[in-house]
Amino acid sequence: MCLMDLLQCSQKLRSKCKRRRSMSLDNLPDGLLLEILLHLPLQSVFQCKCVSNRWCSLISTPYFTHRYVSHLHTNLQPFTLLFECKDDQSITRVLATNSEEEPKLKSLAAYVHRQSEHLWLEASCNDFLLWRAKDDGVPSPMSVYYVTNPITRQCIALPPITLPYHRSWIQAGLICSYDYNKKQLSFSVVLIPYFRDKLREFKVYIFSSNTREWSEPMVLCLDPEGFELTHFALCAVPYKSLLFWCSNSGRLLGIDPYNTRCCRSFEQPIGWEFDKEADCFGVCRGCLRICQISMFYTRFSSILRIWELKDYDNEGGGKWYLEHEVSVNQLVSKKSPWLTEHVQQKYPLPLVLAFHPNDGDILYLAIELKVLLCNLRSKTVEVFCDIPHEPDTWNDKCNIINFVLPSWPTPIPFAPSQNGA
Amino acid sequence: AIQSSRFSCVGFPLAYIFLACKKKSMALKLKSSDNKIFEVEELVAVQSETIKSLVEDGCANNVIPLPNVDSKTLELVLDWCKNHVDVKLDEEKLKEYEDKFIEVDLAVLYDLLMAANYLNIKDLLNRASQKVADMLKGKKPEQIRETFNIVNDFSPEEEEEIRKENLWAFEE
Repeated sequence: MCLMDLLQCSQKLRSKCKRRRSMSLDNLPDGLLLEILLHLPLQSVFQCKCVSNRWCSLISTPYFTHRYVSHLHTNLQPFTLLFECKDDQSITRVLATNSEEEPKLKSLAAYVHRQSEHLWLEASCNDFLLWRAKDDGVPSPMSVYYVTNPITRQCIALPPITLPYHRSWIQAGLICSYDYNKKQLSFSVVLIPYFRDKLREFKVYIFSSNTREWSEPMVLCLDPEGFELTHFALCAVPYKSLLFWCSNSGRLLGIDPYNTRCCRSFEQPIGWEFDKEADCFGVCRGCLRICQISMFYTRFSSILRIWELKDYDNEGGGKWYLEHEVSVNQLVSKKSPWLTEHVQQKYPLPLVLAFHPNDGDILYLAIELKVLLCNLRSKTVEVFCDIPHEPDTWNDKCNIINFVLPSWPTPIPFAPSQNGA
Repeated sequence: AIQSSRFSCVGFPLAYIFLACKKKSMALKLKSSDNKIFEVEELVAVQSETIKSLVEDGCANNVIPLPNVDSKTLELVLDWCKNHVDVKLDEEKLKEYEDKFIEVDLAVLYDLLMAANYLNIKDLLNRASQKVADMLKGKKPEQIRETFNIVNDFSPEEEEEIRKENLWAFEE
């Protein structure tokens, strides 16, 4: 043993004595230290990685993540609705949230706001967002897409792609999947051009994080009638390893990014008003849902209907059931008399923003620059928040993106740990 | 084989053990690391999962030695247990008691954590961990090291690297 070692030894001993007197968290066994760290909010946990090697490795284990996620009282993920208005100065803002974590939300709001100055928000999947670079005045044939995690600010730029369409004729979707055998997360971006005529076979553009390349496979629609996707289609919805698109006529097409020859399609629900587009498409309580508001002249009101796709499975199961049917003028607001008055006018046509991800009776609506929380069971409607927007830019070309506030942020495969787009 | 080992461990006939167990709220004797004996009702002591399993195995008829808990800490822990026996105590009062109970200095808090862990008392462990976590919250890593006497064993480069990776967590 050399002198150095001896010195170190005595130093260790001394520091051990000192520590014992003043007590150190380092004296606690790993199990107890972990127990303490589990009680911290997410941001503090990640700060604590910088304390020492021991803390960092303790927090970096899959066991810690697992315990942290299951330690939270609720297994319902907090979510946030992001809102984007596609005018000249498209700006994305946090619209509504069920999160109670004020600081986390503030930083998320600031981040998406900054990003939207030079990026369009296109789609989301869990806590990932898909963005597309805006033209800087000069239209370019290349499109650049980014996948970001706005919590950790991780960002990956996908290889530029040249598309034979104007970008406003492209709709993008994002889907993540987790391979439990390989313990590996991957994502796919699917670009699909709008087309007015029904097509049985059409080309899509798919980026997969596994190959890190774009491919241009053909989608084969099993329905002999084919599928149409018109310009004002709603955002694609990732659901059970497929990415679902809703046509204006309420028909669904589910595309598997790993096998585009194998699609799922669903006819519009019974009772659907033809020649009237879908008002909302999304997931609630683990089921796909679709909503349509139709005019019902004889009753001098518009009728809001929500259908849910039940008994969905991979063997071809799945059937629409009518979940709610509510006359909009029946809705009552206890807190805002003006609102009751408003909806009882002859033809109130609220904008349907989103389904509540966990509560089947709740719907987010927009009337008069207010976001409303509508309970379809009790037939009540209340103001949730103001729409943070100039009145003249408020139109129905808005884009509502559901973003899940993660209990533990998902790392983007192959992304550098931190980057600005 | 199991029964005979119980015999030898306790040193009483099996029938006696059954009798003793039937008796409600028997007093248990706990011995701290500094050899003080605490006599407590079974109902109070079995909030510790460790003691509970000893009682269930019939090994609690003699004095139960707790070599990892000193008398000062054991007294506190038993006070906690006594106040958590009575489930009828209303929530507000219980919370008031817990808040007051946990207002101790760091050294005592460590002892409580260690004792709660060893005796396996979930709610105490939770409350004490929460208390330490509250002290960590809002502190920068260097402040945490200072307050809790933790040696920074990162090289400046390593520390910079980890900080860069988790920059989002440091934003106000």
